[in-house]
Amino acid sequence: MKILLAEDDPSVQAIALLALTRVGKHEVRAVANGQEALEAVATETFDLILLDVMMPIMDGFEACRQLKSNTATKDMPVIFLTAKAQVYEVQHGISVGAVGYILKPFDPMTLHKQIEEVLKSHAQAA
Amino acid sequence: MVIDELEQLKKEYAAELPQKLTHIHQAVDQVIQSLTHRRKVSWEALEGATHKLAGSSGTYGFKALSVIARYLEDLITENLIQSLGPQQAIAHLSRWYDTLSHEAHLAQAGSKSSKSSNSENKLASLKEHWASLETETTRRAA
Repeated sequence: MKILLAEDDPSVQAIALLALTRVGKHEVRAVANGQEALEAVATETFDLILLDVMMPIMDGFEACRQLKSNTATKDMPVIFLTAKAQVYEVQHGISVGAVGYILKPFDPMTLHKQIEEVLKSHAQAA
Repeated sequence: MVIDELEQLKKEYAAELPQKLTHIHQAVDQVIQSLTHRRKVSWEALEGATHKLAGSSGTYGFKALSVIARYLEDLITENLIQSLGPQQAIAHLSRWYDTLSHEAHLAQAGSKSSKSSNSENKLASLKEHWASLETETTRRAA
């Protein structure tokens, strides 16, 4: 898969990149906030967008909302990768169009599997 | 080997812990200064810093650090620590920071997963302290 990862914390970005490219064998482009994610999708197509929620400049919820309101990007599946575990935030994430959530801390050895499971359960529900 | 690369990243993360701790210390100090001088307290920086540490440290295998950081993040997010009087809030923040700092030093010392540091006991002690402060605050209000 070709994945866009938006994560502002360099240490989390580094371990997620390793998990997705070396363990998961995916192609990944990493950016640092929601605005950069929107800029990336303007020139490239991705099979999946992984968004952190709390990011500077533009947070993940707003980026997801804009991705879903754009006909060119609305079909790219979005998964939030976030430490926010509260139910209302999960619901908010889904309401702006995400297919699911993966909570931090995550296990770098199984992150790719978690992604597969989220996408699979979303496909089954659709 | 992926495992070796992960270990290397973990070592680098552990080496950055003092810097992360300094950032959190500054945020704690800012809150304490505002509480001390009865100024309006801005909790956002501390909430953001604990949020980041909780997410990143746990992902790198430092579970105890993650749990301790998440504990304060939750107290702030749920407006609980804000409900304490200034002195109690300062006491709890100071105790929390000491616990976090101790844990970070242990993690950095050996890049261990901090299982050996008795984190459950430390968290239990923080929660006990919190309960006593809450009881006192309730008693005073009554």
